[in-house]
Amino acid sequence: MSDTTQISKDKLLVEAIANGTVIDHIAPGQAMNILRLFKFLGKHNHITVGFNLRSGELGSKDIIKISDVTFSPSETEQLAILAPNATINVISNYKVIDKYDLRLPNETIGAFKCPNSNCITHVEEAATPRFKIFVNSNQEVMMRCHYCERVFTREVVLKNNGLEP
Amino acid sequence: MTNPLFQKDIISISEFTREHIELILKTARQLKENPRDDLLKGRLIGVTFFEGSTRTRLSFETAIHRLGGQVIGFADASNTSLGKKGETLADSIRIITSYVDALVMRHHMEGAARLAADISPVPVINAGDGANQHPSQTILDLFTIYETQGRLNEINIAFVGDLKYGRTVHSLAEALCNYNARIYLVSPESLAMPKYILDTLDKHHIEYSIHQTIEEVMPKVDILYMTRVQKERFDETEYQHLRSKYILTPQMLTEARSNMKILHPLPRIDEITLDVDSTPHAYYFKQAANGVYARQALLSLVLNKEI
Repeated sequence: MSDTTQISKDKLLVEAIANGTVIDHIAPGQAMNILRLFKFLGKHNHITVGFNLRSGELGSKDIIKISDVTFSPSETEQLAILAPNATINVISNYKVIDKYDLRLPNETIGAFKCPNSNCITHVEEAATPRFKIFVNSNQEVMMRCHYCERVFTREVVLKNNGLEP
Repeated sequence: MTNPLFQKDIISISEFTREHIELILKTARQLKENPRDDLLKGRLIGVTFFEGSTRTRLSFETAIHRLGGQVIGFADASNTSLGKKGETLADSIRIITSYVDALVMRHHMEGAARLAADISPVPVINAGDGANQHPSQTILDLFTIYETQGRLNEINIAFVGDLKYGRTVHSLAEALCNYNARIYLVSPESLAMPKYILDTLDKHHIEYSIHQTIEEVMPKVDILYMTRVQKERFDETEYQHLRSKYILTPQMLTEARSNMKILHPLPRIDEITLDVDSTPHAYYFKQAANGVYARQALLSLVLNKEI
């Protein structure tokens, strides 16, 4: 049986998942980054991904439905850096048992490498890469390395980590 | 009352409040006027220079000895078994800090001092971590500005030379954001002040302007902060063209204010000609001497509840 059950005029209907997570309202282009960051493609979970779907709030959006996965608080923070306006729906037995909006975290630990090649995090295992996150006056998401104190835009950090900004 | 820097790490100038800076400068001034040889009595300080820097190391060691403390350490990690045997920096720090009352550390990688501070049970003073921070240099610069001008508020200061890679100018410019400075930036276009520093100046409503020659800012400034335009950053023809613009000579000082002082983090190579040294504006050697008092103040405050 296929995941996609039918395509109507204005809706893409995908099969409901029994248990897992639906990440909705992902900014277009970020769904692939989420799959890459969490290495979901190498696992055997059932995944449905929609790119550039029509969305009232965003104009267009990406969406991910992934079975048998829930996100820990620290994973939720990493997710929020890629998709700060997304909504998480936790599904259990076909029902939404929890629903919340992602919020940009103040800090992220261990998820992203520091783009500064002379940062101590590249040679010392004890120095787990760690960034403070803030929004600057141009409304850009900025990330400041705890160790080398360099400030990067979110896009530079993502690019340096093999993710498309 | 316990001073707010007691047992604190000194890693980055950005962590200091205006009150911290003023306490350090006041302490430095007191120690310069009334030397104390008891503030580090019975204390052992690790001075570990994983990267060589003779002036900074001797300045720290002088400060410690003058305050009655003792030193263990090394001038260059290549002469030690650290690293060679494959030990991590984290393990080296754990061991050294189990011997001493405080650690002064210099390392070529950015963030090394923060890592040490996160691990160490005793206070860590950053003596330079790569291109990142060198807080005792900024303190000695502020101390010297105060000493020569009688104030830190509303100083007119020109930063000249390599403003792109110059760690000292970045930290000093950031520190002066607390003091409503007027900043003149004089550099080749390719060595201009980085945008993130300009953003910080904007955020603090600090007035600044960008210039190509020293002469155009000379009559306006109280402090001329010189740095070296390094030859290796340019091809030979370009360097020869730029070189003359960023070399300070006595002839360029004719329009200078009488209170104007020239500072330089040193070493000076050829960017200030030797005949400038005898003008009343030259202050860079006294600035270097002030490094001892600035470091005495930091060490005293970190290791004494009250002074």
